Amino acid sequence: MDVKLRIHRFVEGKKWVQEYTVGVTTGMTVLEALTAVKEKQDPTLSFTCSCRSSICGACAVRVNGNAELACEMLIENLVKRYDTDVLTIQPLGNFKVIRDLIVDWDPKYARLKKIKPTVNPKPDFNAEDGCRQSPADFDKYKLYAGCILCGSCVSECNKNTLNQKDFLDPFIFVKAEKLVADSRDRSPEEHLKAVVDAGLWRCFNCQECTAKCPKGLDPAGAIEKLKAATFRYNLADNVGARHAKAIYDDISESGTLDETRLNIKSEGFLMAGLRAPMALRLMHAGKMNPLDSHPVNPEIDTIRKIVKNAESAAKEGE
Amino acid sequence: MQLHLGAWCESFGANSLSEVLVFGHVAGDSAADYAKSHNYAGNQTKLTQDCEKWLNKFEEVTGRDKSVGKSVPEIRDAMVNTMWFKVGVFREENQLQQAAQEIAALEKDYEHCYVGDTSHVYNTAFEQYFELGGLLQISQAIIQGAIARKESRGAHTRRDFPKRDDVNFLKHTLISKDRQTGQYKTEYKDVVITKFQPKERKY
Repeated sequence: MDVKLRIHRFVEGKKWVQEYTVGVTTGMTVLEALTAVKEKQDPTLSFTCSCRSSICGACAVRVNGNAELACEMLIENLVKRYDTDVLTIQPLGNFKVIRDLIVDWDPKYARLKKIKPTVNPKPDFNAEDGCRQSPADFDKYKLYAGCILCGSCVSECNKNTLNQKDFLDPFIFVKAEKLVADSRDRSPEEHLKAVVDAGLWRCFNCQECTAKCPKGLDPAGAIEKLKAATFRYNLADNVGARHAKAIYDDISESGTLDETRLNIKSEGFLMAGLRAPMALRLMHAGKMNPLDSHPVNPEIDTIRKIVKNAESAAKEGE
Repeated sequence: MQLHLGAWCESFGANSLSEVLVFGHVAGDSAADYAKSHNYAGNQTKLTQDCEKWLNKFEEVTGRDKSVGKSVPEIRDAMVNTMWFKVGVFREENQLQQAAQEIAALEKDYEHCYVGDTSHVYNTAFEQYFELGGLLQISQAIIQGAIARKESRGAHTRRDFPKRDDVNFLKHTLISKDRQTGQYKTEYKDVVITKFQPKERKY
């Protein structure tokens, strides 16, 4: 079967889309197809790869708009998924492109450093006795230690596409949760504070990162765990955390959101006051009445049960 | 030329990370010592000269026309075939001799091979060309060492010499290449035995 690859090229400032036709055999990966083009058709086509076994993270690219690890994604599966024999291959999104499918990791490492990304060992560890950890404690962060830094999670991250400056990459949050959950670390709150300052609460919760992670690490889940940790470590004095707390309180108390007071609870009386013109417009349109008493959902008992179940499920997951 | 090899990485995730850290440090120290003792520190003039030398080499190599010879992937695939079928775990004199000739022929092909990418930005075609040069040399060194070691030891199994021979071969093989003649030379270095007595594997 012949498949047409439409590859987004970028060399020394010039940008174009180049088409290559590749004879695809059963079991051929995206990386093998790219390699076949480079070796037999065009030596100038550039991409990075190393281990070819989904462990080094060097070969992630975007195929038809979605990040894939080129060395493990089969062409036949993509052909089936998109029901087409034309595949568009681009460099990962939310990265600076160096050339063709090669992206620049240096700015990402600079961002990674913001969270102080190393274990700060507790003082009771020493060279003689080592740095012991129970299997149960290891299990708390084991999943996140499986990150291969391929960059797939950030490629379609909607928050990063909107603005990278006041946020981090999902894999950085994964790294942060790994450190915060590591019982060997002396000061989890140090990493946590850095993460809050770098934009933890600005996540859109769109789950693109979790959908794209080739290792199934659930970066969006890591972000939720970090948010939960801010309450345990007394780092929840910010708009995002207060907003989450206000929604939680409203739902547990009445089963409905009290939109009139939500802003005041989240942003504080003063900051919310700046939104007075919008409040007046809402009142004028009959969409908000501060004099109305806040209604209680008739299903409040069921809602409380759901909240309770969700809480015990979250505890079990920890 | 002296190689300061980092580490033979066992496998992903197993020993590789600690090996890289430990032997990377050892290799770094050793390279620094070598540079110091050989008056290698260099200076701005030498740096500029070397840069120019490499730049000229880059332009010559990447500027070659497709008609000049075999492409880098063609030579690499041929090398891989030779090494896979003739220099595997089980080895024999005549196959190793054939392999030596084949790799030597590929080293000749390499001198005028086709690379095909002139860009100065992240040129992976040139990178692969450069790596192939090293791989060919190392392949030839492996073959020369395997030919000279007329015994079986560890992962080196000579069908024509199935026994281990501590009398003649309890020693390291050192292979070097003469930069002028391109000839490979085989020498030996004694093994320093400390805590563990070497003995034949019987399991």
